[in-house]
Amino acid sequence: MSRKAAPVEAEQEAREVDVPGSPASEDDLIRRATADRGAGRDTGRQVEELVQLAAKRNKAALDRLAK
Amino acid sequence: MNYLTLDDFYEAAAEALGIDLATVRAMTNDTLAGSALAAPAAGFGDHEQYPEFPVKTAVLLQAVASNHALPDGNKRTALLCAVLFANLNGYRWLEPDADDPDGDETAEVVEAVATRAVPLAALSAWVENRLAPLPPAPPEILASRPSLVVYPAEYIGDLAYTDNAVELGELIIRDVHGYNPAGVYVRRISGKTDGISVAEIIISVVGDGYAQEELDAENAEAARYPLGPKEFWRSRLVGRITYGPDGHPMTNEEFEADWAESEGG
Repeated sequence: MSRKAAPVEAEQEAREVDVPGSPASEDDLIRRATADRGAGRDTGRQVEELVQLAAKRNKAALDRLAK
Repeated sequence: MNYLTLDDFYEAAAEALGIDLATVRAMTNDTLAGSALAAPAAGFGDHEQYPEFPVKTAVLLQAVASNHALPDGNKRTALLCAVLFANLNGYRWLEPDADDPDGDETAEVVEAVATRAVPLAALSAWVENRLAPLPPAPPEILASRPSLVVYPAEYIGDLAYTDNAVELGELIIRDVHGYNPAGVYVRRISGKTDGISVAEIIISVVGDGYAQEELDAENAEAARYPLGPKEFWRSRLVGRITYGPDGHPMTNEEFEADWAESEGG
C-alpha cells in the first residue's frame, strides 16, 4: 500500500538531519534571543544556552587560552 | 542594537572559568567590566564612534580581554562575550578553519588582542569573517502556536502538478519536488488568534516537508477506525484516488492487490 508505507521511508530519511542541536535549532535560539532582547523581554535562559553553545564550539581555543 | 549587560558578562565568565555565578559576581570588578561592555556603544549625541557591527564586536573583544575585570579568565570571557554579542544581534559565529583541531587561530588572535597588539582595523576584519547573518526565518506554521487545539489533518484528495509547480486556484507554488501527485489536506484548528483563520490547507509532497506528520495522523486515525486499518484505507482510496498510467479511479481489486503487496513486504 503505497500511501501507507512508502512515504514513511522517504520522510524518515529527510527528517534525520532535523534534530535538537542541529544548526536549525541553534538558528532558532539565536533568532528568539535576538528578538526577545530587542523587545526587552527576559533572555536569561537563552543567554545561558548561547554561552554554553559558544563554549562547546570554541572549546579548543578556550582550552589553549586557559594555559 | 543589543548590547551586553553585566549579567551577560557574569554568564560568560562563569562558563569560561567553570565556576558558579555567585562566585563570579563576587570576584568581578563591575566598574571595569561595565566600562568594557559599554565600549562598543561609545559616541556622543547621535554620533556613534563605531557604527559598523564587526567593529563594535572587535572593540568589545579587545576591551573585555584587556580591561582585567576578572583576576583570571579575561581572554576566555572576552571570546565568549564576542560570540554572545554576535548571537544576540542575529549573527552566527563561524570558527576559522585554522582552528581545527587545536583552536590555534582564535587563541592566537585573542592572546594578541589582550595585549592590544592587533590594530582595531585588522581585528575588525578578522571578526567580520567570523560573522554570518542568519537566513530569514522559515514561515511560521500555524499549528505550532500554543493555545490552539489542532486536529489531525484530513486528507481531501490528490493534486497532480506539472513543471514542479502546484496550482491551487490563483495560488501557484513553485519549485515543488517529490512524488507526483501531491496530497492535499485540511487541518482544522480550534480557536482564533490575531484574527487568523482556523484551518490550514496543506499541500503535502512526499519527500518535501509535512508528509510524515500528516501520514502519522492518518495512520493514527486508521488505527482507531472501528473496522480496522484496512477498511479505513479502503474507504480513503477506492474510487477516490487516481491509479495506473491512465489515471483511472482506484478499484477495489487494485486496492486488495496493493494491500496484499504492502502486507507481504
